[in-house]
Amino acid sequence: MIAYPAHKDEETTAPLTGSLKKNGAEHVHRTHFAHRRDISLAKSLLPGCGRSIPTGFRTLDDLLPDGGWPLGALTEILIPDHEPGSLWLALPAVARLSRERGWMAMVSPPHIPYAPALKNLGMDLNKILLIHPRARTDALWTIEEALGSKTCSSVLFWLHGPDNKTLRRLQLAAERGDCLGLCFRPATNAGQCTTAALRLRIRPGADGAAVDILKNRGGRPHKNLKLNFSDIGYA
Amino acid sequence: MPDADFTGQRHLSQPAIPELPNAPPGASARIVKPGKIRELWLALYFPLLPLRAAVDNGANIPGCDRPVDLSKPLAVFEKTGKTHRLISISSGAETANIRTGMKTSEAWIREPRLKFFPRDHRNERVILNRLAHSLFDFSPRVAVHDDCTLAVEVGGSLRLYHGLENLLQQLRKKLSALDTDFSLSLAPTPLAAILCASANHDRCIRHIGQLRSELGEIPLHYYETDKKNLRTLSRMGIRNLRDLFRLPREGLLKRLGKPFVDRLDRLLGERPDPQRLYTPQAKFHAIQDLDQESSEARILGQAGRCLLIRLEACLSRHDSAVWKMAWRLHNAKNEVLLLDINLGVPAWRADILQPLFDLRLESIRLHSPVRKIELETRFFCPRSAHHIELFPALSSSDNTDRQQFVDRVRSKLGSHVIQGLQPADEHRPEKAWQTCEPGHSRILAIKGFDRPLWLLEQPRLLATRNGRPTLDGPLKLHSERERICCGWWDRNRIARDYWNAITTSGQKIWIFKDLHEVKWYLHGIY
Repeated sequence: MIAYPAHKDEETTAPLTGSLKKNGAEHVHRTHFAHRRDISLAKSLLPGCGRSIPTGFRTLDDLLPDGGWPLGALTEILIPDHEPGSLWLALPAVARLSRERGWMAMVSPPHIPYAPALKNLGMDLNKILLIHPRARTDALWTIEEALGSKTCSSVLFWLHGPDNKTLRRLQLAAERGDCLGLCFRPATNAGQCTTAALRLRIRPGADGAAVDILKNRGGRPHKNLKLNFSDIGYA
Repeated sequence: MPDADFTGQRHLSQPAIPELPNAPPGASARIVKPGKIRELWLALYFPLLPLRAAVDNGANIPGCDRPVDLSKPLAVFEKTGKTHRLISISSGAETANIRTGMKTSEAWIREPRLKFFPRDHRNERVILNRLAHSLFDFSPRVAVHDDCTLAVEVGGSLRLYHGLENLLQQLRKKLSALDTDFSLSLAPTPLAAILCASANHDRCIRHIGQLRSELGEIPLHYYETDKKNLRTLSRMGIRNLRDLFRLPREGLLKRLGKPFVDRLDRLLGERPDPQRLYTPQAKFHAIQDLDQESSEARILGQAGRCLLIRLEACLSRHDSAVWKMAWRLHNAKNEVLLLDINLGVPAWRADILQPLFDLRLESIRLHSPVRKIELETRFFCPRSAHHIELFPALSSSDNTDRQQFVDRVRSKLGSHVIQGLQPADEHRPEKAWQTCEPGHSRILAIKGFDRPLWLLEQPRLLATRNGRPTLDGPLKLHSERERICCGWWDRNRIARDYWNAITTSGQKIWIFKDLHEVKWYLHGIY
């Protein structure tokens, strides 16, 4: 066993063991970390720390650490190919946010979001922004702007194969803008690692869908959760 | 009380703030109204204005002055009666012993190299209006007079500028930046101020009672330009204004008529003298030349910022905002690229307008370097008051911020990229929705039919097997159907039976059977 000199050991490991010590250095290190965006404190992963908005499905809320969609973070929803995605799953929360504050932005939706149905489900149509950028780079710029602008309460976007760097960038923008970022991606991307706080896979079924929680920051993954249209309980 | 030492030579003994009359005993309970602000007119006389106006000859665009070389012998003439007389001369002409008021022929003999220009009243007026515009910082009451003078009422602005001395200092600073020669005077009546200024008689007269003594020494021909009246007065042995003030009013009325006496009353403040005030036009137009031709967005952005700061100053004078800007980028071949920027919420601050221009620059591709940038806008509108939320936590962003986000996206990607959504009062599903301006969707009470969340832009034809529709396998149709038959009024007649169906993968979809063609289509997805 290699024995390091005691003072050196203390110096090099000081930032990591800072919270365990009882002297004044503890406070210094903690604030030092608090200002760094590239390091997330384990404390923030504890249940009940993040801000969230109820999903509108009680069974799903129970499984999520903060009791709903995380705000100020990105949520990935993996959808089967050639299917536009289960917008109904996001709608209760998005509708509630749209009534309370800023825009609900939809960037490059695959089809027309149908206004009469959205209205029936309680959306404030005045808050909807449909954005159809032509180029992919424009789309990414728009998404980042929308997530970080603090004027959008939720940003829903449909992307094919964004790389990890891009997603990380969008995740940081969502933190900045404190909004609900929902990224709809093809289910074939399930193998790729992600920086998003939450990753769900949707498999449509009769009268609803089966949801797999693949990544759940601060919580546990879960398989085959059945959600029905009729479960939608408006908060 | 410090005296206004605005000439740097003369110390005036008049107190700057008039003393309030003593209140009568027993009247202390009465509310004392603030005294009416005493008028103080500042007159500016620009002796070289005719020269500048005539040499420029209106060829250049307002805002970019070419300096006139005054060391050359130059003169401006005007036809008075039958002779041409000099109105304004350069310092170069003055050294050649030429004076204003000379006949052109006489001046020609003294200096054969003298260049003559006809007087250009129109251009003089343009320059004078521009000067009046720049004086709006000092007072909202600016009057443009003939004979190259401006009258500005500064009595109401003294408190804002912390006293006369400071105001004059700033005014001089502003005018020296414009590179104009001027003489300046202050008096309680506009006519008196103008008279002092045009007689090059720098005075600061702050009390109406001082007018007679202060104006006394001014020679009569500065005051009276009418030849006949001047002759009459000089025959009476009157050389300056003091002599004139001594004459009895009735006599003057009899000999020189009512207009003359009225004017004298206005000069001395015995009769009100309403001024025709200058009102600026609600438009902005300016050009910024680049030091070097460039197609770099950063350099163009900087030049744009200069224009936007000028726009902001112009807008704050009008107390307005803009909702539309037209930018023109000129290249060396005089080709113009037009960039229109529309704003959802009117804005006036350069900080807000600047990012929009920058984003717009990013979105375009320049084929050749830009030589100058032009900004024009006529779309002024009143500023809306900024709303502050009572409960800021509940609504984190107000409407203005939201619109600014839309403007940002639009200025980069074009205005059609971003749209709002609204329902329409229509039975045909493809027409029951419309795009609209974001945040301005129509509120419609629509019946709560069961409708899919996604609508396909074009209904997709479904294959059939044994007369039943299929989509990657057989579809399970719901028992209920909805018949929509309408549209005969605009020749887009439809007759369809809509069904909810479930695919083999479990996705709920919305399909219809066209009753004319007898074909199945996919129209929506839940």
